[in-house]
Amino acid sequence: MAAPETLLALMEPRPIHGYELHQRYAALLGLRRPLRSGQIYSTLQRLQRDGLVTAVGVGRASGPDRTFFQVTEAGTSGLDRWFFEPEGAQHYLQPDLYAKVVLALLTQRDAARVLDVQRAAHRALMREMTKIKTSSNSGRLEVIAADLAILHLDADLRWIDSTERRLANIQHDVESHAALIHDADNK
Amino acid sequence: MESSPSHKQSGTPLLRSEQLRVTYGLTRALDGVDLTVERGDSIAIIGSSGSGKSTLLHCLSGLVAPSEGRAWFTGRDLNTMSDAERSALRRQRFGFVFQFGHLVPELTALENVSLNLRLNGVGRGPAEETARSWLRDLGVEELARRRPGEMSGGQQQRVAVARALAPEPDVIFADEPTGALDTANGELVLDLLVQQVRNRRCALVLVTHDDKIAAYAEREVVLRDGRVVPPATGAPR
Repeated sequence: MAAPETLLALMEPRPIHGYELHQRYAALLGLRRPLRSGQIYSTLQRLQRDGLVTAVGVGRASGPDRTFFQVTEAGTSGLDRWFFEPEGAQHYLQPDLYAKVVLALLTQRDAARVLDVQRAAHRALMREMTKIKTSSNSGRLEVIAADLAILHLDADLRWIDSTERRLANIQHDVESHAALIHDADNK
Repeated sequence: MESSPSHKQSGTPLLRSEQLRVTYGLTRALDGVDLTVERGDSIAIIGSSGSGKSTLLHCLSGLVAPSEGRAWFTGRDLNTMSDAERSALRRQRFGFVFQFGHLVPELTALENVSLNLRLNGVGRGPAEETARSWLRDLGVEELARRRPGEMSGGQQQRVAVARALAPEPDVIFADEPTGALDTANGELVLDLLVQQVRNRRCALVLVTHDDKIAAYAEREVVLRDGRVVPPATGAPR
């Protein structure tokens, strides 16, 4: 998720200080992807430096003085572009897992076990998300966030299953690639 | 071998199997399955086609007699029961949801759902009241007077779920229960099944090949070639 734009959008309705921004992020978007407060403040600094937000005063409700920030016209224009530009399609949603499988084959490790372990972890997370989705304590925002996670996990699980079926052939491909590179180096 | 239950309980389990084996001709459908299902447990039996998951459900519910091994319900061996005893058990203590409704074609939706209640001795009025309430929960109350031939496959399936849940069974056996349903109605049915486990502390045995559906259960048993696959672990072997 593009942190600068998401924070900017959270700030747009009215001036807000960093602490409240952190709370608002956690309440609306932080279900599966919590953000550290350090990331919030460093992003705020960057947004201010780039002229996308401006400090509009210092206030105190309880606790220390806090600087309030407001989105500038340039910030609003940037958000307009961001909202209506489609996200770039990603070829590999789990690049680490793809790399791990290929490298397991290359290094003669048990790639099926890599997939098995990942499958179990994905299923466990899917159960956790389903529990959130079916809990009577969950709000509608939590339900749609859980749904998004479940459907992405399901896509990964299908990839894991199809890759497992193809492991023997992939092994051959990986070895062929490695041999080609080795031959080219020795010429 | 099975993954450990999330909440072991003392006393006799609702269901237990020991070294279940089922052979059809030269094919071994189940090959030594041990399983325990406690009250309040929900388990998903998952695996690819032909892995033995439906056969395991059939053995645990007394629909199929194992070639070897034993299965018990509340400590009673299903294989030593008479046919009449097993029938009564399936009518009174078990609820079945299969992929396709298998409703009685001559009966209306209301009659299909009340049937087991009536056979269990519930009077017509209360049985129909209960049946109507379940049809309402499943969003098909307006179909009460229709026969299966006058309903879509998805509607028949929801009536079949109402029929399975109406007698408040101790164990719900569900084999691909949402196969005939769209996503929204599939979620409605799965929510209802999970609520039954949470509210009444019955048990759910759910057979599916779909990970999203299996995730509604608290734990999973993975079958491959009729055997339970040990849980995958990242620990060094």
